[in-house]
Amino acid sequence: MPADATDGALSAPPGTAAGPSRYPVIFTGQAGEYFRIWIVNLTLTIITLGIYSAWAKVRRRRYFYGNTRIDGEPFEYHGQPRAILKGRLIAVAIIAAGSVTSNVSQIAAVLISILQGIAFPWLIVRSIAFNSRNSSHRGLRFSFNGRWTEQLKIFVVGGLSTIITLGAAYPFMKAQLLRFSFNHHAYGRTAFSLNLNARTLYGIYLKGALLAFGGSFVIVLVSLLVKLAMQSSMGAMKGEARFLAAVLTLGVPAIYLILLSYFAVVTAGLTNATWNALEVGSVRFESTLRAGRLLWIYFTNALGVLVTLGLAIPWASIRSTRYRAECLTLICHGSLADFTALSTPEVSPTGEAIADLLDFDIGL
Amino acid sequence: MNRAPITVEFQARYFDGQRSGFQPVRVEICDGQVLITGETLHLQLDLAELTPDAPLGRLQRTLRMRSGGELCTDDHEVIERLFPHSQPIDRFAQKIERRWGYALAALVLLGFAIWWALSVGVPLAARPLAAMVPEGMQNSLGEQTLDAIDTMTCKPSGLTPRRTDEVKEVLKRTVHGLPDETRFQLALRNCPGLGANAFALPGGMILVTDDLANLAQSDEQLLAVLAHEVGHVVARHGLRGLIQTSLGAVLMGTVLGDATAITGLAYALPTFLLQNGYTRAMETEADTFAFERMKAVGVSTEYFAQIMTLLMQAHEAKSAKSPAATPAQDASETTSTDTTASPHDEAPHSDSNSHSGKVIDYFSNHPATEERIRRAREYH
Repeated sequence: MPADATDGALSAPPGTAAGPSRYPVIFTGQAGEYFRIWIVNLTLTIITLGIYSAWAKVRRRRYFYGNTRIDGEPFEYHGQPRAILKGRLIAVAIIAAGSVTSNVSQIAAVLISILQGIAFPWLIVRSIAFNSRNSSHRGLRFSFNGRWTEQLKIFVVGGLSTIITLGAAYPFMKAQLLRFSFNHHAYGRTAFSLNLNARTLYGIYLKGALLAFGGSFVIVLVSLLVKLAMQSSMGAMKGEARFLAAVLTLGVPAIYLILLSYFAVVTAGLTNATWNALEVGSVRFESTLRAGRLLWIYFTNALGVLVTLGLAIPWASIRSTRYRAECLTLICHGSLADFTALSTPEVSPTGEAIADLLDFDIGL
Repeated sequence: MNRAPITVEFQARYFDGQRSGFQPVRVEICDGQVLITGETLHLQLDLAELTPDAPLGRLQRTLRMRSGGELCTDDHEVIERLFPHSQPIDRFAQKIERRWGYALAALVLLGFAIWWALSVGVPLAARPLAAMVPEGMQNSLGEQTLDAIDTMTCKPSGLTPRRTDEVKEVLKRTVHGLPDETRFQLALRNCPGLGANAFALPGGMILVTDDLANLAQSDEQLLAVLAHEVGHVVARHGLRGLIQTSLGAVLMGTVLGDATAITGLAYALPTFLLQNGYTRAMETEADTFAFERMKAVGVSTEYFAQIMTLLMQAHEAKSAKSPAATPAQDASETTSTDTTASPHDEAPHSDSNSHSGKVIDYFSNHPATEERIRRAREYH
């Protein structure tokens, strides 16, 4: 533990009359250490036919939380493996019952899929609430009080308008979703406030789309030129065959690269926009992810994971988390020690476990 | 109360759970009593009121109080001494996670478990699952595949009506006496891109290229190929391949669970290799079925060996004609079995092929053609 964490706890906060103080987010996870946790997690999960997965999940999450520090203080994750295991068993039972019933009758199958459609926003909300409630920093818990009906409304209205406008309304829905999930969060009794408007997101998605279209255009253009050149130098038939081989070996990686670039641009843009628009009491954030750097990390991660047949996954996770942390700074106008608690009831892990089972990615 | 000697003493940070500030404190524990002293704090409680978190890596240890307060310390040793029996599962995991030797042993074990699951478990599970798919669904899958083949690679057959009827007769002879023999239908197509080839589609449709019908020197040779395809149909190999690939993907997805979507590339390769392993096993199974069927209808398996030799020569000649096209085409044929309905490609990928095709041949669908010929000759 750094020295500054043990002394001066009750002294005046660093940010006094001189202005706000800045706290970088430090990630101290190490690839080698996490590799051992990861491989043991996997092995025990498989040997115990999945039962250990609840422990694995908690250990993985605790590792990332506990190694993320602000002002020397780590985040903590309090989810209990036994509770999560119970939730998972219930989830499996519900899904199994659903699939058996839908095999028996067509009407039941339709009913079940409608129920699942409604359950989706409920699951997401339960899952966010469970994670939030089980996260703490400096001895104070986070909480989430969003209602699933509001989430459902965003999904229905936003989803329909996205379909009707052929995707043009998607950033609008995304902004609503982000506002929904952040604005219902609180740290202790201090509510989060996210001032993010759809216009910012339109800018980000537009940039991503231009990049993707531009990239595809270049690929098509280059391949047409290559095709013409090959046909004129080798004759139509042979040129055609060579061209096909060239497209297979070069075109496919190029498409992957374009996808990856799009992903990097959108992720960097969304992450920066969200953090920079967030306020938690006297704390603001500054996120400076760069799409180019992110693309490089994604690309080398994918390459490393591919070459090592997956063994580099822990290294890749640690690396990208470290970069995200490096780019994030807290700007505090008061003191980090001045937040106070709010008592909230416990949240059942069933919702989260079902969401986890169906592999919903909730990236908070 | 008598003052017992101090048994344990350590430094910690105390969070009261009400404010985000902390105080450095000294914790003394003696005789089950905990004494916490800080600058403005003096707390006394029972040791039973403290719950330790599970040990994990180099992370600090936290003792939680019933009141909601927390004591955080980096003194791992003290916590271990105070709570030697808490969190047995995590403690066990921690013990393994700390040593590279154990981690490597876990890696070996994991590799073995995955290998077993993919090579034995998945095919074992796929068989009953494939049997559960309703007939109607299987048929529509087959029709979709045929539509796709028709629009993409093949033209209507150019065979004479007489030859068409002859091939149909051979199919009838092949399936004679099998249960539900009317479901086996013949689809003749002119597919120059595929060469002399036959495919079994889910449901019972068997696609035969004009080139194959012309290549066969006798009805018996044709019967050998058709019997092999009927073997695929009867054992529902198309469906089984599909189910095995999905199961394998689910399994690998679970294993590589905390990777992002981008790393999905990582299991494309093993899945690809496995798919080809699965296909090899099915080819052998279909061959065995063909030998039995030929015996049942009174045709020597020697004809199987003959048509295999002819096919091998035909494909060698074809690749010799356009060496540049071979790798790309071989690759596309091999990957075509990765996709939805997996038609079974009958082309033997000759092992003595051009140098460039060698790597692909290693992963090719069929057991080495010579091996198949040998099996046919030795079958009694």
